[in-house]
Amino acid sequence: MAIIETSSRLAFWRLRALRLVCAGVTIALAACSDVRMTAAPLVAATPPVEIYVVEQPVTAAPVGGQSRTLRAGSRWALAGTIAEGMALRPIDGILTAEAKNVHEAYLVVHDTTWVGFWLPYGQSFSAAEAPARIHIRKE
Amino acid sequence: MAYGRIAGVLLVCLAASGCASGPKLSEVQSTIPRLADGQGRVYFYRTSILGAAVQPSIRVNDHTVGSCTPQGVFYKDLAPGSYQASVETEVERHLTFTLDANEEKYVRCYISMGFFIGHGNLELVDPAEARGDMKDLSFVKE
Repeated sequence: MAIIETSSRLAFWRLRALRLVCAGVTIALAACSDVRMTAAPLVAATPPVEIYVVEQPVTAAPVGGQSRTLRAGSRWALAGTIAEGMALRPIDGILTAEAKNVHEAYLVVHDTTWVGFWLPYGQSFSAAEAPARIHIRKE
Repeated sequence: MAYGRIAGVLLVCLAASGCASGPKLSEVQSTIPRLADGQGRVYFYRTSILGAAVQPSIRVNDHTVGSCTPQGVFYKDLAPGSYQASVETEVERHLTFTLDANEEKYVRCYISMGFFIGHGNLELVDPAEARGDMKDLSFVKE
């Protein structure tokens, strides 16, 4: 009886150790990869600059990256459009797409959805893992 | 007990010896040249003394512009354009950004846990937050 108890306890701790190792490897791998990007040339907006205001907090994350929350009342200037939607540059703050590396980013909105991040360095698009409904209005 | 205290004092001294020295940014702010017309300015700073012994070089588009010195701040004037700033210890980390004419950007360097040595990291910081962070840091001439 005692032998069975000891072996099952051993199996329990082995399983826990295996889970810990797996979690560690997953975290390490996640830290080693960058956000996924595709080329996305911007067609620059023409003056006068359109300003947009986010009305409610909203959260999204680029595929393979960390989540970002836009605060209510944050203001954004229309920088231009890409195939995925309009690219809005933060006026009173910063937005980044971050995984292993950090990239300055613009908000990309299509209709009423935050669809992803536009990265001005290299003009590329990083899609949102789960596109989020965004309440935004023109100022 | 006494050994513990001595070790603690030594650790503090070791950490402090790696920190930037010199006048605080707030004291020399008025002497810093104004940004030349058509140029942009990037401030690099590090607030934390965590991992003080790890002070990787900061490179911008593969040119070394300074070091990630604890409690230190410096700036680099650059032409408008796209830039990749990098720090490297046992891994290399990048920060990509664009800079417009007459624009100022703020980059914080910090050290995170690594396998054998701390990892250097760079992050873009909101201007208002960065100005608050930097005022008590030592200005390092690069």
